[in-house]
Amino acid sequence: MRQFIENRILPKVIKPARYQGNELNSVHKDWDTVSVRIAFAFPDVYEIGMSHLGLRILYHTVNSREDTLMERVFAPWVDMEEKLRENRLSLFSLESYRPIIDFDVVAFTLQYEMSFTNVLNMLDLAGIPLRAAERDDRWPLVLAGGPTAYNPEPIAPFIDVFLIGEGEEGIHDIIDIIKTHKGFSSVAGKRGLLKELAGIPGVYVPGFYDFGYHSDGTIKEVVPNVSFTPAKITKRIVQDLDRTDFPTKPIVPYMEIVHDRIMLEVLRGCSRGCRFCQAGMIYRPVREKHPETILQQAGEQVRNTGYDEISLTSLSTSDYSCVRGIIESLMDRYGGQGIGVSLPSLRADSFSVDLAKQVQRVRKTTLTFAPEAGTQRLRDVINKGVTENDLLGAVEGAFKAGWTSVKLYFMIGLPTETNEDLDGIAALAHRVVALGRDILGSRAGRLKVTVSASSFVPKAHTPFQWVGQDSMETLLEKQQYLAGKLKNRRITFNWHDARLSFIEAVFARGGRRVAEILEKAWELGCRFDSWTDRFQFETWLQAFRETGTDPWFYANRPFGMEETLPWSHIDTGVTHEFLVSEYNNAFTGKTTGDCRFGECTVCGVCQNLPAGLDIKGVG
Amino acid sequence: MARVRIEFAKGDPVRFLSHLDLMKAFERAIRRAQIPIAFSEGFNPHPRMNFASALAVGVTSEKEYLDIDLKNDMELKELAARLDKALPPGIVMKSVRSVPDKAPPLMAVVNRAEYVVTAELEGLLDTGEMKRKITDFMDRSEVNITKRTKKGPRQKNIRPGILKFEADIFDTKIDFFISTVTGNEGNVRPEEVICAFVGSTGLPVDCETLYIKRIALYVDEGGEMLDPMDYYTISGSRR
Repeated sequence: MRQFIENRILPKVIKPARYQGNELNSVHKDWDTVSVRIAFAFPDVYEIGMSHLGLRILYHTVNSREDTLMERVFAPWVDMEEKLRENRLSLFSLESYRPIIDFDVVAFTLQYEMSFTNVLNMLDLAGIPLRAAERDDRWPLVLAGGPTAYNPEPIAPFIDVFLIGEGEEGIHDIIDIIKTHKGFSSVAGKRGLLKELAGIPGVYVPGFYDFGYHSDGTIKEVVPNVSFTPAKITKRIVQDLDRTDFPTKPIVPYMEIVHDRIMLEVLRGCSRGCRFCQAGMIYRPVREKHPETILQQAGEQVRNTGYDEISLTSLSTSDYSCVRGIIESLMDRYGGQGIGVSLPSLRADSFSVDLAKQVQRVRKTTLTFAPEAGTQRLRDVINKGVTENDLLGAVEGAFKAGWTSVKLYFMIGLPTETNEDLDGIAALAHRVVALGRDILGSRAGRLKVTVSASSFVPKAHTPFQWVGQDSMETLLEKQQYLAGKLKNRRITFNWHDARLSFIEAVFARGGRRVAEILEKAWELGCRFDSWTDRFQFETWLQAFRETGTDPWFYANRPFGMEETLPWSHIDTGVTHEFLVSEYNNAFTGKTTGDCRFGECTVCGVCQNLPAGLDIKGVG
Repeated sequence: MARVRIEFAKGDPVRFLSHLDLMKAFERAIRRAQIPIAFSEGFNPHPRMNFASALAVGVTSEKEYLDIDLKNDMELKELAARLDKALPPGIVMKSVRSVPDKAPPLMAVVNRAEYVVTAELEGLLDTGEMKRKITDFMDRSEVNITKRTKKGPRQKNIRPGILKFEADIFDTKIDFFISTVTGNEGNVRPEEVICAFVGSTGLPVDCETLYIKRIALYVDEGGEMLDPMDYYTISGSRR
């Protein structure tokens, strides 16, 4: 199979290195000496999937078990899909080039809603029946996890088992059960296996839960249809990041990938509490790594990869309590070898700019800040604890340090937004331009301010989960309005496709009933929907029409506070009461602090989960 | 500073790497091997490596060459052992030697390339007929192909750049042996030769799935074919 693909197929597709495998540090195990074989499936192309830290972690942790192997498979690009179908070849793994159906488990990671059609397409290319109900135990078990699994329902009918929360521990429990079950498979069958898996904390078997509906289409109840499953599934969580397996021998791809560098996680979670942010809610509590752990892992990764850049990753690295010290140590150790340190995202304040100054070597790239909203009023609504002074101080520091271009990220369509807030975005951008002109002086010719406006998409498990998204028409009007206000030769204005944000909202807030739309859209040819040039809006509209669904019901309708939400049986540890109180605070413009720097906000996580706030820099 | 010349092979496991990918792979292997490579001056310093010739995506090679500059001396044996261990599967180090700092860049002197191209025959063909077709092809004074360039399609006569062209048939496979000019004198790619040949003779061969292997690079100096590993003195002559 490998020979045929390499000689007959790969010479005819773009970027053939996507499908070759064989990278340094990829793991090639003997198929016959392991008991459990898992294909890790990333529903997007190689260069995106390989940039995903979760893949690196799970690939390492699973392959460090002697009894199990994990291989990788990515969504084949459209030209490769065509070749596979033309030659009647089934989807194969990169390591052994074996068909995916030969594996015991196909494990999908769900990173964004707009990758869902690729999940279906990959199942189909593998020759696996799409619906879980159509698969008995002769088919691989289809597993899914990742942040988007926190609202599993839109894709639930196609998945056998979800693992909710952090996967590095739960995956071992799942493997153990599959391993023992394999010996007795004929006795208990697939249902027996699912029953055992359902007993693992964090595991959600959608087939064991039924949805009841009111006549208006809202959910009446979500109830188990068996006696042995819990009413709520609580996420899995790692207690101590210092004691958790972390890959220090990651695969080093040959072709350029999106994050082509060492990714060193320094902390997990964020408690800043931005009310639109799903990651900020589902990854709580904040758990840091000890600087010594980081230094040790950095050393091993440098030796094992040969990369020239170490990126300190997390949701907000400038919040790491030991950030200054760790940057200094890493630069002392590796600066002489031409290895640099980078920070993925910066808070809009001068402390962060100081950090950026500290890490930047000779290259002067763009600095990016995310004030998210244009006025203090709206920033209070969303609880973005950044003031205009913070931002201007940061930008001033950046220009003084020699940066000539800055990027500002905003969101439009946020709850309570008015034209005044849009005016605020424009005013801020113009103030940044003026500041740049003053500071840069003769170099002002190089000044560039990029303003990016994404559209707000309400997400499950956030205080804004009840808020309806602005209609596409409103979003388009706002984009137009803003574009008119940002006419300046120093300003570049980008905005996201409102139609894409609309479909994203349908799946971010949809329940099990929207699965039908997903299947229809896939049948009609939707793939790679997050790729602007592949996104087929008209086809999506056709899918809504043909399934008789009203997308407004899921994307734009404000949900009732007492309504049973499609994800109400999934428990992130954050309580309903906290989300309600944050929702109310938003509309009264009251801000909430960060429990790392002030008192506990009683979000419920430390009370409900077997993990707590873990800061390594104090005491 | 010391300059080291490395001979290596690009095998099947890394067949689909681009030249840029291969450069990065070497850069990383050199860092893993902790070889004290020198960096260029300037705002964006990069390791001082110079390859003899770029190899296209999909093409393997038995003999490729690169020079690296070291900032401190290092025992050649040690360097070879460490690099060999650090190179990823499919990139195979074959030999190493030191060359004078002022040795001319490989890119400027390597001017001949030899290839074996294997193709699947999709119809019947006997060796005699094949030989005649090749003789006819080589008797032509012009073989014009259309190249796509940034400025649009351009005509190019590749015939002067084809030095040798032979073929052998084994059952359903056909092996072409091609010698072409490369480097400063121009560059004729093996697939250009095969595609032009297939195009003008109607040979039953799929031009898009050729298996191309470079078997040698040479410095042609007045008709003498010199191995790049032996070609390093300042005057340009051997030893």
